[in-house]
Amino acid sequence: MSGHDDGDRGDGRDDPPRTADLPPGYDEEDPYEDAELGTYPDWWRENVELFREYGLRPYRPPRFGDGTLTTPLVEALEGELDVRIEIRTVNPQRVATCEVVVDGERVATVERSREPDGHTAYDLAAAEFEAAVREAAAPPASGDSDAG
Amino acid sequence: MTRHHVAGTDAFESDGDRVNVDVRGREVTVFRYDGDYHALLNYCVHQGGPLCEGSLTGRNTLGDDGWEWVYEDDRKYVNCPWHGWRFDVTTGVSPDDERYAVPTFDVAVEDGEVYVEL
Repeated sequence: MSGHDDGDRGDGRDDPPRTADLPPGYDEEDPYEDAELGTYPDWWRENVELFREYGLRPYRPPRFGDGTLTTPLVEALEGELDVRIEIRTVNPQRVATCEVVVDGERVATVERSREPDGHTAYDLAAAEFEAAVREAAAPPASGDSDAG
Repeated sequence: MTRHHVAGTDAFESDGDRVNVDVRGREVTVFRYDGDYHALLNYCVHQGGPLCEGSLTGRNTLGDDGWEWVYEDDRKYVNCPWHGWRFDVTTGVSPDDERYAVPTFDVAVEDGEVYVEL
């Protein structure tokens, strides 16, 4: 019995970008070989340490399509606009599209993928992401006033 | 430890449903299994594939008679879509080699909303 096959999204990603015979955690390089982790933001350093603890390949942070790091922009916008931003995918075994949610409201959808080096790439430029968040956070345009 | 919102419980209609979220630069996936919620890092120990996007299966074990195989724990193991490495969604440990495990995180459910704590 092979069990359920609910992991096929039918998106043609049949060939993994890394070969199966590589040892667990193997990577061609250590991006932090000469780095002083204390100079990294807390979220980055904590992820590097978690990945090391479990023997994973080196942590590489998620990025938008133009290479901009996702986390600093999300945190900056949350702080500036006083909103909660979530990037999530419901049932990612079926769909490759994630949703950007601002204070509970979906404001954008975006394709995402796991790249060969292990980082997640969002197929959306940082400027587009920021514009979608700002628009959602903006107060509604004032219409006719009840006060007359 | 900080609590991070994942989704409403209505996003998890049945066992095997899951939601993946980015939490401070790490992808965490919450699974519903046997009515409970379990969170794993969406990152395979082997080569960094998107582990939690893979299929869910049970496993075959040898029955009490030592002869017949028994298929059990259906949907308890997630199989990495890159190379098929599998892990227990409730513990993060590989059923094939206990030296390997993916990080797990605490899950809380409150007022119909699911949160991870990290």
